[in-house]
Amino acid sequence: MKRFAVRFAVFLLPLWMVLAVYLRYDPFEVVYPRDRYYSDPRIAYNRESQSTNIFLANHGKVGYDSFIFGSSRSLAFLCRDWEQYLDSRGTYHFDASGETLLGIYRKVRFLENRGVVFRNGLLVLDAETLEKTNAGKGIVFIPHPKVSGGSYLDYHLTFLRVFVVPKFLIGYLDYKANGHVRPRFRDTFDMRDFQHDPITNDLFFISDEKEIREGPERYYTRRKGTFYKREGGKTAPSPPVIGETQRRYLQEIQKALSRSGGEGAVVISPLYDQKLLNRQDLVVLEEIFGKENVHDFSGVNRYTRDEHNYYEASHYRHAVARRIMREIYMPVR
Amino acid sequence: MIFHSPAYLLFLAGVFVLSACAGRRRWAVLLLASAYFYVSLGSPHLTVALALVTGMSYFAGIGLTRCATETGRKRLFVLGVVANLLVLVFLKYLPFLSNALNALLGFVSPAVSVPEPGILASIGVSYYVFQAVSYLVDIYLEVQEPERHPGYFALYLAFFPKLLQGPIERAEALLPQLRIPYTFDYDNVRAGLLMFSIGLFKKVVVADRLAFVVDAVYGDVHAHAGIPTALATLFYAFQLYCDFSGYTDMALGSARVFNIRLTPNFNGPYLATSVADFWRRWHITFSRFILDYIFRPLQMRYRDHREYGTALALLLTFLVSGLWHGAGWGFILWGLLHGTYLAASVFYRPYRKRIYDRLGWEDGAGRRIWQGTATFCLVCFAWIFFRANTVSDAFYAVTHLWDIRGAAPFFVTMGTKLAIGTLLIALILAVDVLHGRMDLVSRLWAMPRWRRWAIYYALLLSVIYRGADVAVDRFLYFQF
Repeated sequence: MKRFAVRFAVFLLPLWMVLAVYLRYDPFEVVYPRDRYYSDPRIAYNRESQSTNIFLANHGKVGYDSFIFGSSRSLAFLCRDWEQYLDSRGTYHFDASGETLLGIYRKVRFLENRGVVFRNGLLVLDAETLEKTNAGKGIVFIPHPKVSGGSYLDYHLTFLRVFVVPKFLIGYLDYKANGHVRPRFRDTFDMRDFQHDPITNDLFFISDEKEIREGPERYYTRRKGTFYKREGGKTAPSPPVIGETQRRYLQEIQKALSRSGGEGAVVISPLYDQKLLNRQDLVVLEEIFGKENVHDFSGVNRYTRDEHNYYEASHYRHAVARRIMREIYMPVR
Repeated sequence: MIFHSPAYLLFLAGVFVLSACAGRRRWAVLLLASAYFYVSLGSPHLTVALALVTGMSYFAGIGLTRCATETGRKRLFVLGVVANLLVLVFLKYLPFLSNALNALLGFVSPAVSVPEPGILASIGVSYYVFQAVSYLVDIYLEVQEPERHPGYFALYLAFFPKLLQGPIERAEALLPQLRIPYTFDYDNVRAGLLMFSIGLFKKVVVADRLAFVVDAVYGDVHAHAGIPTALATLFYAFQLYCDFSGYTDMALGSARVFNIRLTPNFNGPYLATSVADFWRRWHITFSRFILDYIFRPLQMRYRDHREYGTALALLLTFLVSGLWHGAGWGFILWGLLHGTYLAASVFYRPYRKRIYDRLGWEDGAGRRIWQGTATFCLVCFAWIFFRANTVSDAFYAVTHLWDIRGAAPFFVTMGTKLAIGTLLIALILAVDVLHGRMDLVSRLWAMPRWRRWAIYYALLLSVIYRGADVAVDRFLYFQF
């Protein structure tokens, strides 16, 4: 048995070495708790993982009571813009890439279990987010086990499996050795620059905004292919997506937000596709959250007509979100 | 806990270490591990069902040797078999039976209906119930002594590598192995790990990748017809084979590290030269079960009707096979198709040699290729009914197999997946062909270590990289 054990250990030696590198660098910031997250601008982090860990690190000091939920589209909404309309101790952006209704429901439950007293909630939704009730797979979408109750082993192995893919591993080691990403590895890493607020967890897309500011025509000409031609008023509305499961999640979310006297606002995003949210779904949302708290910006309107309101065909700009917030909130201060 | 999960690998390693240290109490470690494995599925009623089947069969087995009269023996035997089958029917077929009954009652009186039970998970139940039934039959026929040690008997039914999808082990093959005290065997551990890795490769790299094409077509049969359906069916044939044989390899490999040899369940099934030959190579332990316990008794019963009796016995046997696979008309039609193929061969076989002689076609590679291709086509045709979501989908696929419209967009969107899938299928077939002609494993052991380890690493890395992005995560035969 000893002979077998030694041979097996030797056989796995290359994997032990890769594991050692992974544990040494913790490239995806999921292995160890840390003082500062988003330490490497080139790594595409799991947004939910970062959001959960940053919340846990800060909540004791800050005492968050107001939260923005949603997918990456909710990143347009910055807590520092939202705060001016609220009476709040601390605002937090608790989003996830490819967020689902199940994900938001689990986050709200996670926060309640950690003693959060909700004052304000902003749900940034669209038909896609409303429809999905299953968590995604892969390092960008896998939910944090503390939120989902899922397996820690599967969670960590998801990241480790990506790390050992030769293209990433070699590219990462090369990047660490040289301090920059060489052209042949550019599609493996995130080449955009962004600014992260370590308290509110906001992400501000510096490079995109800078490029637009310095030369908007150049920016949009270079991305002409991504801005597909739309049919305007002829675009069919989304089919209804809120079923029994989604309705239950929405009801639970609303109950949690209002349990301690808090208020929830729902924003239906002004997406580039100009698809109007199905009226049946809108009625359900108004029934649950109250008509005055549901704000539908889907379809053809002043936001969606102008492609300059978007970074690409999926995400709209911070300026759009500011205008939406001005429209839906009366200033409190 | 599924075989191709990291949790299972940790579990297997832990059980291996504990059982190696347990000495004569190894059976207790393996039994507890098996119980934990089953409980981890999260369906308490399954554990109750396993305990019930184990208890009933254990006491029935001992009771059969203590019965004073033949009538008493027969009654106890029938009671034991029926009780076990009732557990299976209750868990597996109740929803289907109530739906079918309600459909019939609808013709009589729409107001009358039986309540519809919720769907209960029945993972593994078929396999250990069949094992229990074969155990009681063998004791009744006095070819097997009952196992008096309750621990060994419980382990015989519950042994975790074969608990969820078989193989269906005979008592004479498995029970003696469970009694042997454990000593570390380097060759068995090495062979077991290799078998497990090959199974993992077949499941994660081959089967799950072929699933992309299969699910795309069979998920919307009406949007695809002709060549896409034919290709998806071909892919499904290998997806199912690699999924199930991959699981079996992992089961056999897991057992082998404990020095326990389970019965192989596959032997190059798509190299079969007749449908009968196919069933000697596909799901072997299940085929043997239905041959020994259903076909032979029926054939004996209808022996006065000669070929017609044999043909009827085959039809009924494969009707049962279809029913066993699932509570759905698709599975029943699939079973009946195979029964029809085999029944027809009873009449066709005596004339086959005469036809080949008339055509001047000697028994050689050419004839075997023809026979293999024809058999494969018949088997694939039946798979359409097995895989389609509904019977109407299956009939649509079958009646539109020659429709070539709309094939071009399919090749555009699925081109890469089709190419990779084809290469993987060619690899599987090549290995099956070679394995039939030589002992590949012995050749592997004879290689220099660096070459062996290179092959192991190729297997390991292909599983790791494939597992990084696979979306499908189930074993197909779990549902049976």
